[in-house]
Amino acid sequence: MKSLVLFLLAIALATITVIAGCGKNETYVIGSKQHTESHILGELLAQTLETAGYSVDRKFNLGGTKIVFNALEQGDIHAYAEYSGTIQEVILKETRTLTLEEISNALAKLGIQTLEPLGFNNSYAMGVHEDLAAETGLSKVSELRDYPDLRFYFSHEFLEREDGYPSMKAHYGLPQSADGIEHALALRAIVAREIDVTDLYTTDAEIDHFSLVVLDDDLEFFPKYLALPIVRGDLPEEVKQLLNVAAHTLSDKTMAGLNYKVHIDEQPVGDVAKEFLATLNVQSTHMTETLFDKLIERTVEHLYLAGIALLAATLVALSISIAVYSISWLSKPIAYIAGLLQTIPSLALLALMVPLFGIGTLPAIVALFLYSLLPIIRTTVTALSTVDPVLLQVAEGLGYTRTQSLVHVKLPLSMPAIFAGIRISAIICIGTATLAAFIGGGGLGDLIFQGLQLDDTRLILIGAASAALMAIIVELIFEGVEKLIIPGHIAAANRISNEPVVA
Amino acid sequence: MASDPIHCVEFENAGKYLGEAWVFRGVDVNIPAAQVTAIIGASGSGKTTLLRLINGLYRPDEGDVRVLGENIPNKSPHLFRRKIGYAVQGAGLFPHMTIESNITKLAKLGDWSSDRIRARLDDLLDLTGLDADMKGRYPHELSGGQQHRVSLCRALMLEPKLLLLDEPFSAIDAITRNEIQDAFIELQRKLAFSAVLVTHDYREATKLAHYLLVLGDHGIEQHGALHDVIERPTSLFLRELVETEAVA
Ligand SMILES: Nc1ncnc2c1ncn2[C@@H]1O[C@H](COP(=O)(O)OP(=O)(O)OP(=O)(O)O)[C@@H](O)[C@H]1O
Ligand SMILES: [Mg+2]
Repeated sequence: MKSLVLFLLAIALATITVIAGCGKNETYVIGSKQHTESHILGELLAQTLETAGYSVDRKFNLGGTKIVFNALEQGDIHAYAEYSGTIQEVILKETRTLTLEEISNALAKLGIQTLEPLGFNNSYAMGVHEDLAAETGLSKVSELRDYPDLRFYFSHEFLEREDGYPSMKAHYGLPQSADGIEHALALRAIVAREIDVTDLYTTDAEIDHFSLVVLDDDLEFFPKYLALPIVRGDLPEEVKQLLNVAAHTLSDKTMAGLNYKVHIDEQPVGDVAKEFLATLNVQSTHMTETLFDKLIERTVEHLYLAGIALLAATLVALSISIAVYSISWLSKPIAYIAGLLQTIPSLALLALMVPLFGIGTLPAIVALFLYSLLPIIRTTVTALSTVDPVLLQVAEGLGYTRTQSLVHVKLPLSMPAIFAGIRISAIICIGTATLAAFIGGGGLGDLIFQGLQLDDTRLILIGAASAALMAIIVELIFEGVEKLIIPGHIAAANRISNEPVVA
Repeated sequence: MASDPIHCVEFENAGKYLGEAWVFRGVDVNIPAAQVTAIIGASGSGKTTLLRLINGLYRPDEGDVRVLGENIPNKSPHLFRRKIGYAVQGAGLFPHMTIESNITKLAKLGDWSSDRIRARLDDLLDLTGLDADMKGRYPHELSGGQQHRVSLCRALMLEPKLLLLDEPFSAIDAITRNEIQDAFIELQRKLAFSAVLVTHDYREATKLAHYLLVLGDHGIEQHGALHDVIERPTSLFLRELVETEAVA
């Protein structure tokens, strides 16, 4: 029996090692956060390297500054575009305004190098309708003092944060008070001339779309959010040179224009980046994937994530269950721990894997693996410890060894329950794997995240429906396999004994 | 150690402690070989416990038990148990195995040749009056009586010298039970194995057994050849059984 458990564990270990081995590769990995602008900048960097003949792995849609920056620090990605203000506040946790040189020096200590700024500054700004600007001649924030009757409506965040409107009001000596409003509503209201001033980002796609004018921050209240690629210091010089391709070429207006093309015109990010690179005399070799190609690729990734995680979880859970089912002081806490793992929200569990395993496929698989353990352990332990004791006594009395009794009596009789556990885990795996994209694990979630980011409902639906379809197909396959390997009356007996007793 | 051909089991002052009490102590009796010995006694008197001491499912807490001329080995008890057939109340067939697998599994796991297995299986099915075409069926596709016959075949598959039966026929209707009892008598006559049969059915004991062992609250109350014992019942339990039977 011990050897059986060891055997199962060895297979599980081998599976995990093989996957871990796949984590490293020689291509360059470019990251991006989950918003359009970061995505476009990521594409610019990626296509530049591809055009120069390097192969590139895109880890886009990573869930937030901490995750992307950690990935860069750990070498899971080699470059991405960040903003100076974000580096100062979120990464260096500095309240004082830092110069680019100071930022550069601080990052160098972490082994990370800043490249040349791209040219634009994506910070908060005050926006008014162009008609209002024309009527009043407003072009600077300080001039707002002269129009005390203007109606100010700001996003809740800007209205409430300390460095938001309260500070700005004091800094500029503005007389107006302000109310809160949803950002999307604010833009519509400003077009309808129901409100006059609202907060925007300087590179918002909406600026052109809604015919807005950005007022000049003439007293320099807003911190700078200068976009610039940051890369691992150990990259070859040649690659760093290439990643400097767009240095000082993107004005606020140009960037807003690119955002507009993706966000409002719904052009593929790859095409928009390619078109812009052409203006820099870089003839990108990028071919935009068709939706079908993407779907196939993501589906394969999804199956890979869920499949490997499920296989490893099945082997480990079976080994653990077989080793402990007869020892109740051990099996209870183990089931408890596995249960505890499952109460961790899946997104949190995925995020927790990042400091341990970086980003990409491996941490996603580990998280899915941990998530799938419980159903299998619980059903297996219960099934193994509730086999009819008369049958076990007969087996022992006839001369079955402990292992023979396990293999030929307990396990076959527990099969329907074990199968049910694996099936539940498979469905959980497929569902949860849609979140793997959050930490660069790929899968169908990539389509969903992309759809969310580009406000493309079709993409979201395709991603979600494919995952659901996959779950249904897997469920059917399990049913078929179960019919093949478990005698009908054993499965039936199990169904009956598992049904709730109705008084 | 010299083997004892006339006794299949020798209890030497054996006692078994279970839970918080002695089930029995000082059991000092030899069970004759090549005969059927019935153990009767009230419920809870320790019949099943005594049987389990024989195939080593329990170890005695005092005294000794010798089976087929040897002490029960501590190492590889399963090899020892394969020399002893075992059948329990309600047949206890493995529901996920076919009839053939139920009977032949251990022979296959051991190193029996497939020819030998097939020959033995066919013999046993024939001897117990089962159709050869039942081999591929599952236990739930058989009648209760047929299941008990299969259970006997399974116990006898490995050609044991000794057969242990714990109320094997108690859960079947009277007519079927009668048929199986007849089949059992026939089998024992042909194969001449030793058998120890636990039963609470006095009629079954007198019908099948050559030797009787009466278990009381604290151990063996009486034992001996069937006729000697029922002619002169000294055990209170047995005297009541004999008298009830005489009236009926
Ligand atoms: N595992 C156990 N732990 C504690 N006590 C036990 C255990 N097994 C049996 N006993 C007790 O030992 C005594 C003998 O049990 P045993 O099963 O041998 O009786 P039995 O004569 O076979 O009874 P029955 O005719 O009802 O089958 C009973 O009092 C029973 O409660
Ligand atoms: Mg009993």
